[in-house]
Amino acid sequence: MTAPRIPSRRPPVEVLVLGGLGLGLAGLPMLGLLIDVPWSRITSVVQSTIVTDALRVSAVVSIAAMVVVVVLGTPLAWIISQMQDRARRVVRAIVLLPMVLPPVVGGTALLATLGRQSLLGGWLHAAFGITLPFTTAGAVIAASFVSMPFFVVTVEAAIRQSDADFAEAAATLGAGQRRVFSQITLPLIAPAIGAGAALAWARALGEFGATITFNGSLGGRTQTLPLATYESIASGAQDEALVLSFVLLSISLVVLLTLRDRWITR
Amino acid sequence: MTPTPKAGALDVGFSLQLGTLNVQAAVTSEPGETIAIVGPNGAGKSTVLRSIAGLVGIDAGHIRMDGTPFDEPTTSTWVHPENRPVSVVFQDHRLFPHLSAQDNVAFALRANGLGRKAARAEALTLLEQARLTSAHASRRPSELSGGQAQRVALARAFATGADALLLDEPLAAIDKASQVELRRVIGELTSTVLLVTHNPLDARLLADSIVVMEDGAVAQSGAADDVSNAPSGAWAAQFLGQNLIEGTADGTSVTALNGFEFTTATTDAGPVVVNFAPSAITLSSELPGGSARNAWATSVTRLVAEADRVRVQLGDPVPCWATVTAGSVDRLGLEVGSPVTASLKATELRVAPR
Repeated sequence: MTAPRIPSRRPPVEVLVLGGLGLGLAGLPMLGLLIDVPWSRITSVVQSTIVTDALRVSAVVSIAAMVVVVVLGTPLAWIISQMQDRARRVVRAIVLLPMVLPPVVGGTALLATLGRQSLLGGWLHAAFGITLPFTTAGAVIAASFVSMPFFVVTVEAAIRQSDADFAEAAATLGAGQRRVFSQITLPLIAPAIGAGAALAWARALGEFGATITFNGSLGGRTQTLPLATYESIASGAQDEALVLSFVLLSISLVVLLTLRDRWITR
Repeated sequence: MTPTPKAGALDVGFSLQLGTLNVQAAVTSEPGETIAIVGPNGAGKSTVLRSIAGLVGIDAGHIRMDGTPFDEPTTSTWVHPENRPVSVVFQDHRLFPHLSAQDNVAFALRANGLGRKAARAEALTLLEQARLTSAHASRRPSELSGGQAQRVALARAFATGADALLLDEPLAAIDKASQVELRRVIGELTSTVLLVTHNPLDARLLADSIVVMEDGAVAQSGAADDVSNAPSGAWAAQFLGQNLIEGTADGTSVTALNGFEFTTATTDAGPVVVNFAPSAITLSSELPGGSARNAWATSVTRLVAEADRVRVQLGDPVPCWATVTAGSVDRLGLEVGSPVTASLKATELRVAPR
């Protein structure tokens, strides 16, 4: 005996209309962008200095930021996962704040902390000759600042889900914290580290507000793809902006496809 | 000759509030002793193991081994789990899913100071002792059967060289044939073993002493024979009060170790345990007819009066307990030393491999 097939029902019309508008809001701008991209001139535009410089700066900054985020964020996520409830809430709030903070506020805060006139920034300059604002290194810091929470939140959840039982077992076998983390916890959360890194990298790649506030938009040094796109629009170079946007859209699609098992398929 | 272990004397006495359950435990062991901890679900059995392993802290009391305190709130003593010479086998085996069986065992060896190569070689030897082949060794836990995985887990725990092994229902989640195999492996362990189990067979076949826990407290403890012969409380009586007799099956007959032959309703072969309830035995003054094919002449060695019945302990050739009404005791004139005939239907016998 097989159960009778249940015919799928059409949702009420007002739901369809509003939901359809929502889908349009997400999809139509992408379509508009693709239609307007000057396909015939795309190779020459991509080869222009402003675009190649922006591509290079973006690649350097986003990859460096991803490395910073993975190297600092993995231990941080582990620490948070081991904390008592109250302390964990406090630390997690601090780490997650940049996720909801307007990026321009983040940039201003970085400037106030690491700017030449600031206490820490002034000391770095006086003692080591290190200047961060308006440099590529500064852009890496700004990108790391905004993308770290995406990584930590992903990895911490994974540690707390998978870790406890196996870590317990490992400890009863005589393994100290270091061995448990490196040989049991890390391999078990490797997929989450990959996903968190991809997410953080995508966020770093799209970073705009904190970077322009803290580092300005210096071609070849701090002008990333989003900043170059904005500059192009502002200076009336629409074709450039469209091509740059198309490049960013393509990268985003690749990231989305990479993470589809985590976000879309389930 | 197995050497007598010198370490592994546990001295555990603590209280611990765990949600709504207050666990009050008292367990002591000689080095090399096997202790079964039995009791209904939620009685606090696993908590005893977890506290000894250092996975949960106690509120008051002490956990010591060979005179060394592991957890003692009054002196603020706490030893981390990795520094306690005990290891645990969990019911769900908890083999590391990203490591092969061999590397799971090697992990424990490396954590205890062995080099990479030596650890992998030694792991193979230990897996062999747990009756696993090199083909099993290269498999991931997900590619092993429940029984195989549990044997790997036992080999892994054993690999630490722990003076006490804590086994939390290691046989509960695996099939019958694997249970028999694993029970043999556990029986060969020479270290102190604390075995949490639901199975009377495990307690009776493996344990030197038995601790009965109910509602978080120790209801009864003592030598395995004593506790089995006089279980106090309804749960323990039902759990431990069964008669278990070891023997060898051949078709529908089982020859007990002392030579007595049972007729069974099932067909079996090899080493088995015959299991029957005390209430299944009929006592009479002469040999009965009917379908009772197992009948023997014996004598009463002990009488224990309970609320609504009398437990009668019988001597050779089948040392066991029978429960009868007080009326039957009067009618048959039973007292210690009385000759009596015991009978048992073949259908009342349950036969399990051992």
